[in-house]
Amino acid sequence: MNRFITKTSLAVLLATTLFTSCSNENDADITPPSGGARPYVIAATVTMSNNSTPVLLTAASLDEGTISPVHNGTVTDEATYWVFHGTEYLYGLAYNQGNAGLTRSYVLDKDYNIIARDREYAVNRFTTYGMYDNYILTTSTGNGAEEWADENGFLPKMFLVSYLDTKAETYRSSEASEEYLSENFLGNGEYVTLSGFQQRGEKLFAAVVPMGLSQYGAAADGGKWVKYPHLVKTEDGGTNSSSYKKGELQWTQYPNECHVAIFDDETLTTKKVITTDRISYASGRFKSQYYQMIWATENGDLYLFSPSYAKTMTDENQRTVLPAGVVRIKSGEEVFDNDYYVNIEALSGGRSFLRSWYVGDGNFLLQMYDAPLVPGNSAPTALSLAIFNVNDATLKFVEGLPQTLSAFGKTPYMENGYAYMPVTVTDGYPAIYRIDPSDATAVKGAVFEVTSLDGIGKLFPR
Amino acid sequence: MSALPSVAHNLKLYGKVTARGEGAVPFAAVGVEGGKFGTYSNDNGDYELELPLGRHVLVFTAMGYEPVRKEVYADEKLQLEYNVELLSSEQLLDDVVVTESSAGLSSLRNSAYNVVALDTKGVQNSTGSLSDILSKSPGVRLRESGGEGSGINLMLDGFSGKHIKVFIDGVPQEGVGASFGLNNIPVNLAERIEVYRGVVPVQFGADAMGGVVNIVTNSVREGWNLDASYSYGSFNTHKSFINFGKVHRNGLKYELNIFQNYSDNNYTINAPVEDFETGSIEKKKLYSVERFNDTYHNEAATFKVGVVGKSWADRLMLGIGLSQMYKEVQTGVRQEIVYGQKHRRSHSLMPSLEYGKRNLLFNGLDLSASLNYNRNVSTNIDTASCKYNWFGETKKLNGRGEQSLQHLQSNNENWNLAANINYSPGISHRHLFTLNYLFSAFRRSNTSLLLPQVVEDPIDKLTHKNIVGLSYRLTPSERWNITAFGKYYNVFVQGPVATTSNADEYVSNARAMDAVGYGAAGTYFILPQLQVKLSYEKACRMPTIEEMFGDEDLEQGEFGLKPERSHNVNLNVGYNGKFGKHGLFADAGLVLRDTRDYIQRNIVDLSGGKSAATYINYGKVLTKGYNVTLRYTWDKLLSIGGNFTDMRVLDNMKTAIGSSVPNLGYGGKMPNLPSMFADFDVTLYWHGLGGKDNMLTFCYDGQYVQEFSYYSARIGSNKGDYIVPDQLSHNISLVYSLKSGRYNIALECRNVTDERLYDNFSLQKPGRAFYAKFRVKLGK
Repeated sequence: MNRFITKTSLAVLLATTLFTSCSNENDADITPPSGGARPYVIAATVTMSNNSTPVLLTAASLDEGTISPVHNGTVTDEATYWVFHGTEYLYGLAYNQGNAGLTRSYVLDKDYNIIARDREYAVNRFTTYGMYDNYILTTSTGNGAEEWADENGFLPKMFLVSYLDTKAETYRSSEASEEYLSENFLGNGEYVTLSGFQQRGEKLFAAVVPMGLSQYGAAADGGKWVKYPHLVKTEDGGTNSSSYKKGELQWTQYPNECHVAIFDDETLTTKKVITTDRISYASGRFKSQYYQMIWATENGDLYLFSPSYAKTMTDENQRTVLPAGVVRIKSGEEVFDNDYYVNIEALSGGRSFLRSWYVGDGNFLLQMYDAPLVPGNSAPTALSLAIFNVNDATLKFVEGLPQTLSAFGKTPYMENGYAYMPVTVTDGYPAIYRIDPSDATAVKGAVFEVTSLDGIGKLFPR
Repeated sequence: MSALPSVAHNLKLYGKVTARGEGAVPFAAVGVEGGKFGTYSNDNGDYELELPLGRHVLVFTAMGYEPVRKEVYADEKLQLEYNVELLSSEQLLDDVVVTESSAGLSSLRNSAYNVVALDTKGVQNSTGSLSDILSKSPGVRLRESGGEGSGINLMLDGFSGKHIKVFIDGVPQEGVGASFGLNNIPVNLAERIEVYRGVVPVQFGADAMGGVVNIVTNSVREGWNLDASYSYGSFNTHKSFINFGKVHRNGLKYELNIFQNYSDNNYTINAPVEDFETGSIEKKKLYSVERFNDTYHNEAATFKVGVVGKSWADRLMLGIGLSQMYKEVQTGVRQEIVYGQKHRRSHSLMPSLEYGKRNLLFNGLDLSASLNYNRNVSTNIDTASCKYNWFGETKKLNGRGEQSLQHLQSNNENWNLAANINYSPGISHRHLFTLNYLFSAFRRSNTSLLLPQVVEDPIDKLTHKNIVGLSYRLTPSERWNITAFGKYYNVFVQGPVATTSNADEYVSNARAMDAVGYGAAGTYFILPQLQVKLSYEKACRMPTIEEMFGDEDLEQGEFGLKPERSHNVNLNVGYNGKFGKHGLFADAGLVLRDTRDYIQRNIVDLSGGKSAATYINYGKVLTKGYNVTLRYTWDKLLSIGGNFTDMRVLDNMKTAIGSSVPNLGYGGKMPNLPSMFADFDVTLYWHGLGGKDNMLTFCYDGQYVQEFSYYSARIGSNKGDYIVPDQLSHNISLVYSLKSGRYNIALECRNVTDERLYDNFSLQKPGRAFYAKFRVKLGK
């Protein structure tokens, strides 16, 4: 580590300046150690010797330097997602109790060592997480209480909500209650999944993805919710998270609309749902992953992106006719802004996107598919990036990414108007590329001698 | 009968031919290699033969018995007595002779393979299972995840349990299910256990790259015998075993084995406890807590009936086996994660047919064949509505299922057909050809029992395997022999695969693959007591059913695995000598394995953020190591010895996965594998205590395992957090045998010093435990 620090002392100086310039009231507490500040925390995985070792590394800068995990960094348990709660805590969210181990949290000490806090959590299964005040909120859609079973023994679907309180270091889960029913959430009989949370003031906005009819929903009232009987499964199939059951109608019958649930607070018990038919559901999908597509800008405007993933559906009744696009909910309002709509495919030459993130100043970073979505086919690869500006409705593909690119990291890190995106290549170690949204250019920054970069953030030492 | 020309200075050789446990063998052919001289034994088994001076190789053969070869030197002595004991073909399916060293561990004499035979005679009064005996073999390490009936992983020279195939009396045990495994079969069932390391003879038709374990059962040979035992001990552990077998004069034979194991496994471990108030686990606050959802029991019975010693069959046996198991699941892959109701059940039905015939059609052609069918139904049940902590407290879950809601029944069907033909022209056994064929078929289907309306998976998982092996052995003299062999493997697999990324349609996908392996083995006796063995095999292991399709629970299959390929080399030097009352047995072995497309279990993220254990092919692995076995015996009063193994399993891949950059692990040890371990024991015998035929045996044994890292030790600066520490454990037992072993009482203390023992990261094994066993062995 020391060798690296002396080599890049200039970078350290620069980073320290950046770091001080954007820090908050905690500044007074910070006494940089002799080794120099290393406030950037990178969750990485090293796959070698038939084993994947998760390791947390610290860096002085994301713009330059090479960091090795050999006898350096903190080896930890595997996590499904690495989530930074502000600049205080790093959570390694892990669930599915038996397999993945426990959810843990980390802080940075005054010497920039990563320290695991003593409390760990056995977390319920979840599919989506979000922030609300001190909480990291997780949700999934699962089976409801036994006593709700219908005559077939089928259970209605229900949201399972859990809260990690980052300050109090506690964990709690919702209990089975009809307020959490996901079954017939939109009034069309289908059950839903929540995909991505965005807090605005006290309220919590979530994109709603209709999932089709569960066994319970398909059987309800003699099948009155079944629009397309040929879509009801006649046998069990599939494996793991994407398995389906006999009697289920997998995937939505309503692919040409987008719904947003507006919850009064983090309890998710009081809500209203707003709908637009200009875009399809606002969620990025990869197998059973549902990526966040609802984001707030600095002024409180909310933007919803739909990649129109339902274009890939095999059955034409489940296929959306709407192109990938963007709509808006203006600051202070709880209705869709009728004056705002952008057709992304019209700007991109027909290409949709897998993921989106907000960089700042009205600029969004989109991970673009390399080809248009085709019915009945697997989604194409998504190995390019674009900057979409919501104010002038322009889309620019990012230049300067390496030719040998094989994957992007799970989440970029935003700082000073730049997006720092982890990039994996076939002829080198993963590196962080700094993307400047003003001219849509990418410049290679720090290199990490690992297999994948799973999370980047910044923590204040404490 | 002897029609010998009268020659001056002839040697007169005489003696008696007997069969083990059966007495004199009449009409045994006594031949001399070269064919010029020969005779037969008389009704009393006696023979007499005159030979000219010089070196001769005698061959004793008799119908239904394994031939015995003996080199003699006819020198100035004019008379030489040589008595020979034959083993019936049923006693010995393969062509090896066990030479016993006084303490249970011996090499298979004349075998060129790296093989040891573990004689269970000395431990039949212990309360252990076959796995306990196996762990006292060089290069072998057994990793258990908990107490009685917990999952075990057998490791041979760094290869995991999946690379090792288990046979009972030469019959493959694939698909028998968890209720009839190494960790629950009592020691009394076996007469000995043979462990072949790395290079495997063709008569075990298996793609076992790491080696083969063959359990030779304690089968009645004449008259009748009864072996019955019961043991009780800590954690409410009950075990019982009954074996009864009888051979009638007319050749009718039957044999019954019944055994049972039960344990609450409520041993104490040290773990943090989840506080339901805060929903958190204070990882540094360890409590001493008792396991409460770990009850295990299994019951098994096997019955065999048939005939022996007929002109058309040396052995024809029809068998049926029934077994069942119930096992509660206390923890996830980490001890912090507690289950209070999750459990599994399993039932197996195992009919079998075995046939053996020497000199079939013409002299020197021997056939043995077996057909068995294993049907195993296992059910995983996780339907709890609340979660548990280590104090046994509960909290209502917002859904069902402690890990994930499941009531899944897996039906496994396994057919095995194995046939082995040996052909050895003439009576000399100079040339031996062996042809082995194995066919196995495996089918798995799943049924969900969650709802009243039972639903079955539309697509079954299916595996067919064909393995053919051919070998030739040349035995020019008693002092050396050499074998060359080739094997052909073919495997066909079929299972469901999603056709779209929406996973809304599944089709049955099939894949066939084949591979060829070959090898050679040779042995040479430098002195009668000093033997050198060298063997090589280009081995192959086809992916297993579990690796390709998972176990429907925590293990996730990988459909696209390639076969593993490996070059295996063994070099062994063994010494077995006696000086008056002193006996010395020593064996040193060097092991080299160069493996490609290594398949290893790995805990990975699956799509959707779910994690599970899965299997991947990974580049190259180099295994190099040695083991040393030493044993000293004094008269029949003392035996002291042990095994030491240092097996380095190294990452031999230069570039990282998916990139051309250097692999940071290159040259480093593969993680999560114990590499250095030892076992040692001292046994004292007090003959004649309290009666002429009584004996008191005191035994101490210990095991050592050097620390190893769960993750690669090169990564991070906190590697101590993921270390399975150095461990040393001790066991003591006291056995009192009356009337030459008819009645036996044993007392055992395991883990005397109450060490915290781990074979797997975070999963603590039982502490100090006491057991008592009573055993009766009667027979004629």
